[in-house]
Amino acid sequence: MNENLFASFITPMMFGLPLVTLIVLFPSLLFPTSNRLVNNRLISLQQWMLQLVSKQMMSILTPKGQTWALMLMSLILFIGSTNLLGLLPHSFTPTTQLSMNLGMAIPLWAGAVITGFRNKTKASLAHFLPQGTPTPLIPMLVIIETISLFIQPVALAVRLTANITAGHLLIHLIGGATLALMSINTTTALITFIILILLTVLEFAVAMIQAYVFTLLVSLYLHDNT
Amino acid sequence: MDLDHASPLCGAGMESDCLLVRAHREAFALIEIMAGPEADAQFHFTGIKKYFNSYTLTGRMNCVLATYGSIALIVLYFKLRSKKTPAVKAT
Repeated sequence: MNENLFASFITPMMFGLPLVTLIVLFPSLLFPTSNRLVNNRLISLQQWMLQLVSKQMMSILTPKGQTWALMLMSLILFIGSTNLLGLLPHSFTPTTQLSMNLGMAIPLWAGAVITGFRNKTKASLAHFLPQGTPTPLIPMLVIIETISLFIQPVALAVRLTANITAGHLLIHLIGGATLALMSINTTTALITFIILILLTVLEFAVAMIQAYVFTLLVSLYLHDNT
Repeated sequence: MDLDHASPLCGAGMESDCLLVRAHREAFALIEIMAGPEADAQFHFTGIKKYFNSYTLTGRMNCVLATYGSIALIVLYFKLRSKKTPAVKAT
C-alpha cells in the first residue's frame, strides 16, 4: 500500500514538465474520425452509441437547444472516456481535479443561463419565483431561488469530483487491505478480494453514469433557458 | 416552436423515431404553453396585483425585480450611513 493515499491524485510531471495536457488530449485518439459512408467496426460502434445517446438526450430540447448537440456529445464522450481510462491501474484521472470540473461546469452553466437571459429575459427572471407562491414568502423564495441558481455549477463540479475521487480511494484502500490480509488470514483476504471486484464493477458503472448525469444536467439547464 | 419541419435527428427511413421525437417535443410544447405567456390571459387582477403577483409572467418578473431592487437599496443605505458617521478617533 502506498504511504501516501493521495499519491494518485497529484498531477503527474515528467522532468519538471506537466503531463496533464497529454493526458487530457489522449481520449480523443480513441475516437477516430472517418469520411467514409460505411466505416470499420470500431467507428460504426462508436457512431451507433453516439446516435443512441444524442437521440435520447437531444429529443427534449428545442431546435435552438439542439445546436448544442456537438458540445454536449463531446462532453459526455470526454468525461466518460476519461473516467473509464482512470480505472486503469497507476493512471491519473483528470476528473478527480475540482479545478478541471469547475472549468467544465461554470462556462456551460453560464452559457445556458446567459442564453436564457438574452432570448427570454421575462421568463428567465420570472423563473426566480415559483408560480403560486404566497405573497409573504415572495422575497425569501426569490433569494432562495437565486442562491440555488448559483449553486448549480458548484454542485455539478463537486458531484463529479467527489464520486470519482471516492471511488478511486475506496479501490485503493480495499486493495491495500486485501494485500495486507493475505499474510494474516487468507479467507478474509478472499472475501475482501471479492468486495474489491464488485467495487471495481460498480466504479465502471459510476464512471459512465457520472458522465451521463453531468451532461444530462447541462442539457436540462439548457432546456430551462431555451 | 416549429413542429412541422423534421428534426435533424430524424433521417431517411426512421419515420417511427421521428414520430417519437415529435411526440416528446409536442408534450414539452404543451407544458410550455400551459406555463407560458398565453396562460396569463386567464388571470384577471386589478390594482397593484395586476403588476405584482406570483401567477402571471409579468407579475413574477416584477416581484423578482422589486426584491432585487429592495436589497440593493438596503445595501446602499447602510453603505451611505457608514460613510456619513465619522469613525471614533482616540483623544
